[in-house]
Amino acid sequence: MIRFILNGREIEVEVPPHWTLLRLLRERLELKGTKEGCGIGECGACTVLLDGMPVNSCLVLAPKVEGRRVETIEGIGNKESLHPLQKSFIEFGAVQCGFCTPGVLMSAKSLLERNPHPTREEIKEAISGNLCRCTGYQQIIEAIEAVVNHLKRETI
Amino acid sequence: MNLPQFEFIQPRSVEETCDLLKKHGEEATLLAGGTALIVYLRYRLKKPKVVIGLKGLTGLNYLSQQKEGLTIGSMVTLETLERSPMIFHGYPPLNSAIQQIAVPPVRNQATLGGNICLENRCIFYNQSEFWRKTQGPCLRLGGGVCYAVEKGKRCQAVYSGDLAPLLIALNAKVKILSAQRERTLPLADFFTGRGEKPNILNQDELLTEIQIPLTEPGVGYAYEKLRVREGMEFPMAGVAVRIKRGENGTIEQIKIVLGAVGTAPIEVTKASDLLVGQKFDDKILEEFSNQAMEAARPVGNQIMNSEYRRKMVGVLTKRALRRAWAMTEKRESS
Ligand SMILES: Cc1cc2nc3c(=O)[nH]c(=O)nc-3n(C[C@H](O)[C@H](O)[C@H](O)COP(=O)(O)OP(=O)(O)OC[C@H]3O[C@@H](n4cnc5c(N)ncnc54)[C@H](O)[C@@H]3O)c2cc1C
Ligand code: FES
Ligand code: FES
Repeated sequence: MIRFILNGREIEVEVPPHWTLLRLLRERLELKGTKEGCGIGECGACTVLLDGMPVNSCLVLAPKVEGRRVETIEGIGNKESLHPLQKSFIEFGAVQCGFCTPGVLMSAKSLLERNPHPTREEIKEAISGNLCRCTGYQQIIEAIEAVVNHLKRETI
Repeated sequence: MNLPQFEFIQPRSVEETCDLLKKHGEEATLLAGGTALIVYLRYRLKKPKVVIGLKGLTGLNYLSQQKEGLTIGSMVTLETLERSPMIFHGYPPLNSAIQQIAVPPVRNQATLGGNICLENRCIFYNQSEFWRKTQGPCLRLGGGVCYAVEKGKRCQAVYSGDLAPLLIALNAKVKILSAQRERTLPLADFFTGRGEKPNILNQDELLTEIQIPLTEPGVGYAYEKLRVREGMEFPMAGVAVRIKRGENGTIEQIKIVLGAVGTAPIEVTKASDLLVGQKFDDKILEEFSNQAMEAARPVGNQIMNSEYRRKMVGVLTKRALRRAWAMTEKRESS
């Protein structure tokens, strides 16, 4: 039995020791927003936040999240109230097949929380672990930049 | 593809870890960040009954600057090192080498100890069990031949850790602990050169600390890495250098260490015989570069062919030396 905070709520769940966090999320908790691409840390489709930092959930053993804070794509917004990054992704056409999108959004969200005014280079670095085979990244970067610029305006 | 079944134990202290290692022997494997180990498990390259998670060993999570130099606990993550002002300001080339490893989500989990203790890699070995079945086991998996070279009688898997070459160039030491004893040795002596068993750790031992001596005035160092794309990539070749400036722009000491072009980091020993008292110029750069190329042992089992990688070792050596030399100049004037 492990206990941790999932998307702001404390949960307790039985999990075999050899399960990854990704498998726990998808197969036991039915949170299918987090995707499995490669299973070996190379694609970033499985990116979630662990104590606010992006990690590849396919490389994290589930028992390791005991007592920690996990955030998945299901926690950042919903159909009624999308996260600003989600809105911006739609607006800029940063979603095509959508397989990489949850992972990219988690990386981007973590970046903006730690660094609200990143440069374009910092944005690229932050999403460098997320492979996208559709968009060519340009729209993704622009969508994130748009949110950054919006944040900038708000703070002035 | 799921992981094989195992028991997962998370000890709270180093002593408890040593006891567990002793008790479970060959059946146990250590998991630090897990960014390499989980992949070995998924590919069934390791089939432990017990996995010992080290994350709870907060006693191995430290970074401190003393008068002898830097000491780093083996469980410090690459992300922590990357963000450390101590390393950013005090050891900028180390900071840049760390930033070139994998990608941020991996570095958030990956540890320094795990990086040094990486298993050697080979495209015939680091594959799924299914893929490997199509050709039968290689030497390392109990078969009779190494596929990396024709009729290979020796495992040619490549040591591909990015940090060991640079740390060896800096004369780093490592501390190793077991239930019976503690030993400290130069990182250079940590590696065996055997593809199937790259380091000297015994089954009951654990790497606990990395010590990086203070660099004296007049010393510069650098790491250059060859890879296919800029992120997420193990080195196809790596060159680390450390150089000390003497009187009148002469070279007083030099050390060149190659990574990912052999079964262990390779020190280009000839380099140090060549030079003492020589001026730093294009001619000497050419000689160092030739010696580095000669010392490299790239096998053609990677995406870039071995001749190209050997040539690039020469190019990277020059680049690294130029940068390291520029660093000695900066340090002298400051
Ligand atoms: C997509 C991707 C890209 C990568 N790119 C790079 C790269 O560019 N350069 C690079 O160097 N690495 C790379 N790696 C490999 C790996 O992520 C790093 O080397 C990392 O630092 C390993 O640390 P870890 O804590 O995750 O090790 P783990 O996976 O936990 O362990 C690695 C090995 O070391 C052993 N071990 C760990 N800690 C100890 C200890 N304290 N004492 C004794 N044995 C120990 C384990 O048993 C295991 O065999 C990459 C990995 C991925 C998934
Ligand atoms: S599924 Fe985890 S990185 Fe690809
Ligand atoms: S939108 Fe298809 S992979 Fe990124």
